Amino acid sequence: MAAKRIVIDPVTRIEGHLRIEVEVKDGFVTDAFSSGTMVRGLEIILRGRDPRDAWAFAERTCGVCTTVHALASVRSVEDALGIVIPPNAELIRNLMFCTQYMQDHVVHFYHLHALDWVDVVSALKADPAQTAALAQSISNWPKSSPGYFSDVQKRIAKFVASGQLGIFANGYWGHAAMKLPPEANLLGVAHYIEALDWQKEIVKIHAIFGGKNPHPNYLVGGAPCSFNLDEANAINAERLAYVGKLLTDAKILWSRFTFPICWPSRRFTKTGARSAAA
Amino acid sequence: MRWNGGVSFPIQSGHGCIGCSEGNFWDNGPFYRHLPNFPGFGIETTADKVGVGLGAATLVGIAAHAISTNIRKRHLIDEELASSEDVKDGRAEQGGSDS
Repeated sequence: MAAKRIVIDPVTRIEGHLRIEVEVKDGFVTDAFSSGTMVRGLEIILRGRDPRDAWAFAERTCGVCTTVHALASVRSVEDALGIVIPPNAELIRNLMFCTQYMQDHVVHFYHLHALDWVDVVSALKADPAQTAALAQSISNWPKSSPGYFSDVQKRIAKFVASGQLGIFANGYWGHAAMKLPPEANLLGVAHYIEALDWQKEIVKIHAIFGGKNPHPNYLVGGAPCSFNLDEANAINAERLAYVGKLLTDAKILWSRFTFPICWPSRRFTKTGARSAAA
Repeated sequence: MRWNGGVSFPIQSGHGCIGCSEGNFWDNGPFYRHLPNFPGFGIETTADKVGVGLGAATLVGIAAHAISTNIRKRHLIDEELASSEDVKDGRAEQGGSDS
């Protein structure tokens, strides 16, 4: 059997444009190519500027995956100049990077593509008690009660009734490819809302170490933070405890529901299984 | 103004302000050099020149202060010395009469 070439262009539900080409032979992927097809001109913008400033421009490639481009930039400059950063700076950068890693996965999963296979309108038909039973069969998340899902449903109903769907106006609601039952849809929408609330909390770690999110500050040669556990104007004990709390909250929340939402998808549909695995 | 629900802002976290909310901030850099080295500051000088000028003026001021203080205090010290000698003399006289 001859090799078959599949082209997906553009890949949606990401920031920017992406083209994927896949070669398939005898049912197996033999090769794959990805390309970013949108010219942003950052290389041109950076020409002739102070290399210490480059991170601030590179970072603004994207406001969703903020941070990582700045990190790549300061690392490149340090690599070129042979700079080895202090261990504490490395720790701060790792904390900021991992914060981004978590937040970006959640935002991508729920807010960029979940509503391609979770039907918000169908969630209105769900039975809250059955939704709670489904949620409880997946994880021990304390909010998985009939009352909670009923409240979420009322919130959606109010939103849909307002007629102002905003960014949801062009969803493929009711499309035949949306195969989840109403209860799984309600569960998905509830987690979507929870995740939206959580993602604004976790990025406070960026605010603590980098001043703000999106686009926290980086520094060629290390990290800009000063540490003094007792000093009000430094990264002090309160700030570090805050970071610890945000990370603990993230661990508790996500061990209980980001990945479990994949399970009903696998259980109910083939399409869902592919989306969940992506 | 603080960010992310009032958690922090660039200066509090330890980094200088790059003016990211200002128009054309990307061309108002560079971010890690003295402010007056920017083109378009409007004054034909730099932070270093201003600093040297201020430093010299300060030295002149300190010297002038030292001299004037010396003169003023010398006068005070003389008065002080004179009055304390008077007291001493008085006590000495009084003490002498008691004993």
